[in-house]
Amino acid sequence: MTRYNVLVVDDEQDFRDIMVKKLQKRNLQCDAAEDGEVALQMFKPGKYDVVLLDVKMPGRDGIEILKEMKKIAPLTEVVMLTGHASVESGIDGMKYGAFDYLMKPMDMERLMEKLDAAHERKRVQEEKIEMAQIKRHMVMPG
Amino acid sequence: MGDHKSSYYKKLRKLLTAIFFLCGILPILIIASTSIYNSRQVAIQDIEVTASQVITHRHDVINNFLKHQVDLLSTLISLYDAEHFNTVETLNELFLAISQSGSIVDLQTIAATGEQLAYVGPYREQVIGKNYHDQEWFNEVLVRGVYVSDIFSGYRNLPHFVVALTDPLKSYVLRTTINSSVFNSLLHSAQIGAHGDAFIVNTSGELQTPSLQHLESLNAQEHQLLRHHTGTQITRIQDQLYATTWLNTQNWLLMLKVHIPDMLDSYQEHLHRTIVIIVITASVFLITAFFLSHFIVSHIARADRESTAMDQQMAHIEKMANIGRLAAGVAHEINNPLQMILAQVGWLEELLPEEDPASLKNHQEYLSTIAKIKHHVERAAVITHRLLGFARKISAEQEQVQCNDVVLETLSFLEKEAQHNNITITLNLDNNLPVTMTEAHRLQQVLLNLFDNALDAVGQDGTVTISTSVQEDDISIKVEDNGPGIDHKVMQQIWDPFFTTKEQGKGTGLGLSISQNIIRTMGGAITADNKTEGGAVFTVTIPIRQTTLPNQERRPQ
Repeated sequence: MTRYNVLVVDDEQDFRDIMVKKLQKRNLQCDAAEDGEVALQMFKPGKYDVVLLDVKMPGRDGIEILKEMKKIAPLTEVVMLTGHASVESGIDGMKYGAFDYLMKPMDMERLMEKLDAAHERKRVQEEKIEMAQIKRHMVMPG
Repeated sequence: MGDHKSSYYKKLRKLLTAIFFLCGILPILIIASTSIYNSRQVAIQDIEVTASQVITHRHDVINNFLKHQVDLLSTLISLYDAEHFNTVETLNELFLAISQSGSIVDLQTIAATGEQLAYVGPYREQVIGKNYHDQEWFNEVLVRGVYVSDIFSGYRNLPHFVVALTDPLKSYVLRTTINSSVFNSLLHSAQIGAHGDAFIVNTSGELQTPSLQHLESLNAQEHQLLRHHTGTQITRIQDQLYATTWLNTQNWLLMLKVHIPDMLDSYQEHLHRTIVIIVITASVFLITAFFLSHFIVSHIARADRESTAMDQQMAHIEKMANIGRLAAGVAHEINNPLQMILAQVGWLEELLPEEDPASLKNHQEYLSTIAKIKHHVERAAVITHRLLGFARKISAEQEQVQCNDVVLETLSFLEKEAQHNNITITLNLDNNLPVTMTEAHRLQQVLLNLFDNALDAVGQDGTVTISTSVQEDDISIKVEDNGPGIDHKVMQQIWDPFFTTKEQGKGTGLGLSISQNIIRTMGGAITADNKTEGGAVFTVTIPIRQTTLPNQERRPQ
């Protein structure tokens, strides 16, 4: 049984593979994309709950992809992955609506905490929206 | 290099001194020499004017004197008839009447035939019975009516000259001898200067009156002056100035001779005064030029030194930044594969528990190998992290800095050395020290330098005390040692670049200079002092800041 859907975007094949394996082992539905373009093609509203997005990639960088994704599906949460030398970009990403950032290398425990928290927030937001819609229906039936 | 530089500065100093000196003294020399030359010309002109005045005056006096004698005789001739002159008695009366002035020595009457008629005077014995018919002057008188002779000894063997007149009928000649001393004295007052001379010469250049300088004859150049001319003529021959004028008779030339140097007293005085002034001015200029060039060159030398220090400092910073970039690059590149190894091992570790330990012969070995791989990869990761941290510090970024931590970290580099030399390091850190925005790496560079100096100063078996405290709005870090302290002379140069008391090759002399620069750019100050109980104390104060300086923008990596 899958708990939620995750998209991993990273230019390093080995990193993507191991991430997918580890996350699937933890009962998450997991896809991977090797760069921003591919990720945007795969990305549909409601398809992924959380995106794990590397900041530094060849081609379009993580911040740009983040902005695009937030346009397509604002409720999808994005966790930025930064290298040692790109912490600032991670911080920048949060300004554009990323949920949080994680510095590579991260251990699985912390990653899972962040992903769960991101998913939880998405769920809460969706619930709020649902409640608001229900309330609206109740005020204005029909 | 130092010798080369110092000889260059020495040369520069000499050149500047010479230029300043020449610029000052040349115009003065030109003005002074012009003035000296002019004053000499003016002095000579003065002499010429004086000489021409004197000679004109003497010319008049002598002419008057001779005219007077001639007039006297002609008056006698016109007043008395011829018989009156023919007897000694009557001639004697006349002589007595006219010889009162003392200028006439004798009176004599000679017949037209040359026979002497009467004589009154002191030379009666010598001239009695003489016939003058063959005498040149006698014939001249008869022809011209009036005659003034040259000086001659005549029958009397004494130099004298005569004035002779004949009556209008030319029946007799009245002759008188002029008192040479009276006549000569007319010339005495014509002398100008101690070596001046005044005399009369005849047309052939023979002296008619004694030279005041006892000359016997004219020299060749003076003979040139015998040309006939009207009025007064001024001629300069070397140091001599000649004023000449022909007397009325046209037979005698009055010559005035002035030795020019005699008359240049005021010029000499002016010359001496000018030379003294020039010497004084020259020495003043020389001293001024010397000190001025000394001053300028020492400034240039200092500026050179400072710019060299600045260059070296810049080069050092540049080098460190390059090392930092290199380290960061290497660390970054190694970090990625390390992380991949770690991730892969983590995956193994995750999967292993799913295996049946019984079917896996070396299950335990796998587990311990995984643990070892993880351990060593992490070790490598720590090193790459340190490198990245080092690069970060070198990038001179401002961050929240706890100075106590910087002190402790810096000290950790030197602990071994202190232990080795048996130096006790006493820490006196303020636990409530606030953090401040500054550049930790650069502060560390300064502290490292100060601690190093302190250990060097103590040498062996001493104490170095490091204390931190808050002083109003500043954080103060004090480094004290119980070494020999800082000499008064050394204290003045302690911040100069390239100044070092360490033995050659050990110190660059840049440490404190760079430290001061760093602390100043942080907006702080660094001071050195001696403790009363001995030893030196260096105090660094840096301002407490909660935000970065506005001009220090953060550089994204």
